[in-house]
Amino acid sequence: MNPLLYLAALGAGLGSLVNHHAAGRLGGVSYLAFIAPGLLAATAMQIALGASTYPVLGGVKWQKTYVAATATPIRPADIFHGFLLFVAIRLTIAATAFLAVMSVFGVVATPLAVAAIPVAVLTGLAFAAPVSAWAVTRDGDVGFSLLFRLGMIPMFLFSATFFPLSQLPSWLRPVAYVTPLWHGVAACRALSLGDVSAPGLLGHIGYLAALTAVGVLAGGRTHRRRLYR
Amino acid sequence: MANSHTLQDREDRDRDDGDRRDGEPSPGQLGRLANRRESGEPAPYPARTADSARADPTPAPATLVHARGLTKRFGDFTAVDGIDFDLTRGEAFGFLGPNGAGKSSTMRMIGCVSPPTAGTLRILGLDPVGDGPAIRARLGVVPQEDTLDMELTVGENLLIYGRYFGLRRDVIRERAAGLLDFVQLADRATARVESLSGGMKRRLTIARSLINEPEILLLDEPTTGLDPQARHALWDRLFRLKQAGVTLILTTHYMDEAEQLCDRLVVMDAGRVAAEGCPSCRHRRRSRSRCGSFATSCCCFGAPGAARCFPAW
Repeated sequence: MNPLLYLAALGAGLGSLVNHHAAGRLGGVSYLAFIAPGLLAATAMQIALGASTYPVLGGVKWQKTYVAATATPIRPADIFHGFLLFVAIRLTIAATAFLAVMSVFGVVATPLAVAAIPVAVLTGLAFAAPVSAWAVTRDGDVGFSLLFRLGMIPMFLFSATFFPLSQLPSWLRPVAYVTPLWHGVAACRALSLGDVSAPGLLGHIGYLAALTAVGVLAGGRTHRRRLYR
Repeated sequence: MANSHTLQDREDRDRDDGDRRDGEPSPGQLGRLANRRESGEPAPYPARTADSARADPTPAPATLVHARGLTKRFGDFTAVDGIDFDLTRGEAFGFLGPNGAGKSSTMRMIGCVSPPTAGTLRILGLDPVGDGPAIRARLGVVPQEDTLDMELTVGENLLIYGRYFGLRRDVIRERAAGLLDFVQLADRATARVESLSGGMKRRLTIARSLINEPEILLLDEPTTGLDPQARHALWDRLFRLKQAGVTLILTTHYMDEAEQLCDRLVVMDAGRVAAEGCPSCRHRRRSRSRCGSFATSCCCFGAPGAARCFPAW
């Protein structure tokens, strides 16, 4: 439902204005086709951050479902890996639905765009793994609202989701380069526009995979430390 | 049933099966259920335990938990300060003491979710740090605070928990039916946990802890926060488990609970064992004066006529 609203309002509504004035700057594609993959990656980020903050702390502090599972043969790392699997499944469902909506809007250029689904999932995991690794160490949820306000919203707005990075002042661009969302947006965009030879596609995927791997390693430790005290 | 109080009463009652409500297995019924199981019919958990304990051809090690100098420190704070105890198969062992005495820390160490800082701890002959999952597969844990999944139904809670032990769905379904009967929640199987009363949640937690047919059941303050009636209902269930041969370890800060359920107990205070013995002679083996407050409140504890000192029950 959300992707439908976003695509209708920003892509079709705002896009009709943009297309009249600045079509050239978007690499010759419609504004809708430009932001749709950006929104796909941003949606993956939002789902991942929502799942890996409050519910994770709830598992050890409020509902204590993690604590309950720790009393069984399940180890803390198993709980963490199971959680990531759950997030990956959720992301897959959401990304598939999003891509279906995109094809209804006619902005899926090639069958290759299906590859944007696993990349969107990876984008989500690049957030979910490190953030849940951190969330499980928290004693309260204050940090979460800061993460949303100072991390998620700025990334959502400035990681080339809605406009090319070339529109950012040059001193700000390196900041965007380190955000996982920019890599996710760039990779999803390249795939949905059928531009597999886009420079840095493998680099984007590698960056997201590395971030996920760091999060998985760290999360195994933080979950063990929290649950085996 | 839930209103009968002393152990003597219970023993009398257990000799006479005549006045039981339907669906409450008596020891006699448990025996019959055990027989029924041999003929291929499902039997609830307690019967099965008694049955399998008898059928076990190789005698299992008698000492299930062995602790020497067991210590747990959190930074500068010493929660458990070098305690010794042994737990033998089939007994009900209690840790009695006030809040902050180190009971829960001890229980967490036995539950293999808290590595000891120092000392020796062997559970079922295994090392709790290296063999945690293997030990936990054979333990049942009733934690101090409910850790049920509020968003799921009673039956789903048992299913998920059983799956954590790698049990097959049909096995879980069969056991869950018997366990819900046993904790008198059979009619609530499809209710969401959120809608249950405190006593019902506790009983569900006990049913959940039995899904893997544990060799030792750990109960951390099982009746704290329950009203008197719910406490008695819970004691009744635990007493039945004990009679069915399940080894119990429990913590409590209630004298009456310790007397009702424990064969043997230690009094803990400030991380140390202050006194030990069986409930009836515990006051004579006091080793430290700090437990005086306990001792004076229970000086005739377990003695003939003890019920006079505890008119409430």
